[in-house]
Amino acid sequence: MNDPKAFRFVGSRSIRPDGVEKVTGRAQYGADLSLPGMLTGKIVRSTRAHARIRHIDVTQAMSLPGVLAVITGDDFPDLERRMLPMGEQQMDVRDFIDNTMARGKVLYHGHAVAAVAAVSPDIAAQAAELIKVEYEPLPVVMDLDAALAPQATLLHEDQVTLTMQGPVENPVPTNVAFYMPLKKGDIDTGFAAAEVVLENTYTTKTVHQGYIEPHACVADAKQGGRIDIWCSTQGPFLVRTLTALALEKPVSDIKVTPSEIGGGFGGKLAVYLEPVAALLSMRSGRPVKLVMSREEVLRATGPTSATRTRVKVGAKKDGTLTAVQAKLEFEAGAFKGSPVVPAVMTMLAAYELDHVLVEGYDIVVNKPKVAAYRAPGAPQAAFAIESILDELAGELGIDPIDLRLKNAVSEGSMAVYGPQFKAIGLKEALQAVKTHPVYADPVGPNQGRGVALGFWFNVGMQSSAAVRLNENGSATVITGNPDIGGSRASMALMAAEELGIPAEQVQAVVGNTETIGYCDVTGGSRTTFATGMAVIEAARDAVARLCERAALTWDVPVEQVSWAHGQAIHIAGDHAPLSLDEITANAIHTGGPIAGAAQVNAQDAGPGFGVQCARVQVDPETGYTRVIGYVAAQDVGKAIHPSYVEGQLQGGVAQGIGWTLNEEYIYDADGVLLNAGFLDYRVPVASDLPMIDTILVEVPHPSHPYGVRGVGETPIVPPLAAMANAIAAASGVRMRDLPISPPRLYQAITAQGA
Amino acid sequence: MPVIHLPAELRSLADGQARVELPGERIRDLLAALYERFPDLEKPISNRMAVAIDGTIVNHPLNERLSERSEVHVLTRIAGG
Repeated sequence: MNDPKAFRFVGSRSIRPDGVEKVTGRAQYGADLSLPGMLTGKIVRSTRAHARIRHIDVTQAMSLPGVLAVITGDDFPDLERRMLPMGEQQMDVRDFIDNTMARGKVLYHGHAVAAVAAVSPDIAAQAAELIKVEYEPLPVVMDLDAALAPQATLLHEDQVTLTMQGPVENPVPTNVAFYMPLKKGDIDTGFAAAEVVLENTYTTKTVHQGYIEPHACVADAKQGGRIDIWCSTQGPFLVRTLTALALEKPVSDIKVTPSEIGGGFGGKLAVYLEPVAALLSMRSGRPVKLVMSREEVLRATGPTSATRTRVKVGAKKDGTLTAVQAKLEFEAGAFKGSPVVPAVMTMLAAYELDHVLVEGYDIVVNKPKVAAYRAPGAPQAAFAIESILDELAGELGIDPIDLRLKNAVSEGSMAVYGPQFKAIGLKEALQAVKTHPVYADPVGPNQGRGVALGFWFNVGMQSSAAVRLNENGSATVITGNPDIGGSRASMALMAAEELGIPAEQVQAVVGNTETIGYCDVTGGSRTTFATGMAVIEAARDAVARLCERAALTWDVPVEQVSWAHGQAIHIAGDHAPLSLDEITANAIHTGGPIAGAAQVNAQDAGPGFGVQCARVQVDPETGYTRVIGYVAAQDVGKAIHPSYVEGQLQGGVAQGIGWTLNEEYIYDADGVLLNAGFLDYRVPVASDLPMIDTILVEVPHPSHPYGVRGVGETPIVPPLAAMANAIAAASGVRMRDLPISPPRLYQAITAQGA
Repeated sequence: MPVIHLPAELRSLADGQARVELPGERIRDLLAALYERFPDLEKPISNRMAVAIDGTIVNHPLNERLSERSEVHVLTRIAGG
């Protein structure tokens, strides 16, 4: 099926099934559900970035008329510290509870300390004001230098540095939670062979995913102990697991129904509200709605890490890389678990290298615990390596794409993090960008272009799918993955391909945790790959049933029946074909309803490689950077629905441009976020961006029946360096610290001129 | 005989070895042999690692077949956003 010509429906641009509901405002998002008797929940958040909680007085709040429940951290279980496998992620259950609601200490400004449920939003707000928290302030640790200082204030007095093997030798309490080295060859030998060596440091700031829809949920605790939850999430089964953990209930007592989701980008893999709403509902006996404000989202949900990367590159004069050494320091926020491990592993994945030493450090600071953000850790690592390679290309007088082509991995290469690559399209993507006008056309005054690569592993994991055939020959496909980027359309296309009916006759449905079997999260660029694989298998299962019914109808052995173009075919030709709708209409006479199902634990997700080129114009009198052209090429395996694949590339680029040019958390000396709103935390808007051209390179992934490989994360990996490289070319100033905002760039240009 | 390659961070638990040749027709047999020789490897590999068998990444290895020339790489399991 990897032959593109073999597809009838896959690869077409079918109408998005949920599109009309969304553009007309009828789609139901997390905050849209209301239930009879529902209460409003409100979370009380820390006014300190680091402090011991001496006392919380809730008596006045509890006595306020209209208040039905008040909870604090003491109402959650005191769980033993252990790592909980959450699909591909691991989570310390104690940290999860402590982040849901602080106990003993608050670790960032905005950390939840209590919650109320009341009959109206006004009363809930009033009750929240009446909760008195007595703090013992502690020094704040707001950046890497403060966290790593010899006498640094510790966030967690019992934290020592762990490695993959366990604690380091002679462990002492520290803000460094984890250390990971990646070694290959001998780094000294590699640098001894170099004719040119460059070394620099690159930094990035704390940035947020910037999803439009704030976190929201409704929880309804029933008599008898069951709890229904509706929420905006990337993982309803993850919400079920963590809520069950926090409430010490079996998962079978909890049903989670995902709403439509207004963006997540990894940020809605984290769970904040649902255990709180559920506990308030249990205490009050009424449904409870909790909705975050934008300010709460920015203050208290997980952004991605601020980072510092020191990188040293050795090369021959012909551009052959001989060695790379790097030290990556990632802020984790208040609890361990920054994406430094994938940063270490992805940083050099695109290059053939014999001698490598990359070391990663996971470091806690008094900021919100970081959450996943598209290709977690990879953009920051790529910013460093792709910037210094651009500098190396300049030093050697080599075209930056040629430098990368000289060193790029291809099929059969050993990735520095371990495995051997199968078929990949990195070099094809490099060649595609090289001939694109954004790269190839001449540049004007104050203009420049910049190139960068990106890599992401992609993941598979567990998915379930059901395909149910209706009596009119249409089909319903149920999966458990919230539709973030057009997955309904993709699932419908894949089922249509197998069933042989148009995608318009396939209704794709996102189920809840009781209507479909277990599905891991919509994340890791896994949904079209892994859940799509389950859909294909479920549809094939349904086709097998259809062939059995045709055989029964014709009274022939099923081996004499095949399926093509939506029809059962009698191979010998003694019977006229039976169409899908004829078989389903007659199902009552052949055994009843017809359906298929599949459960997979998809392995071997194909890695994604992307190449991007930015073209910018810098105003030297203001430092303002205008993006005047952009092209993103990526090996996507097989684009099931090209429009949504292109959209993934464009979305990743847009976020990466924002990350490069403007976005950053700005804190005061006390650890209070000063720009907790979209007026001051500036994400790019449409008028900031040019048309982002896309090139879909399709090198089929051999481990997927249609050749699919994950797409959604790789596109955010290259933009930081592509933009910085373009700005360097346009302005003559190399910016190694993000964001490259107008005042910073203006200052750098002015300093260089002086 | 299949070869299992260990990442730098685990080599100290295997007498500093980067590659170990061990018998096994299935990945579970190979890992069992590895753990028998180096018991300290079992916990970190079981809890945090995946394997790549001849280039195919398997997060939860069980009965995947090996050949006499199979190359197995141990690597960290990957998260995503």
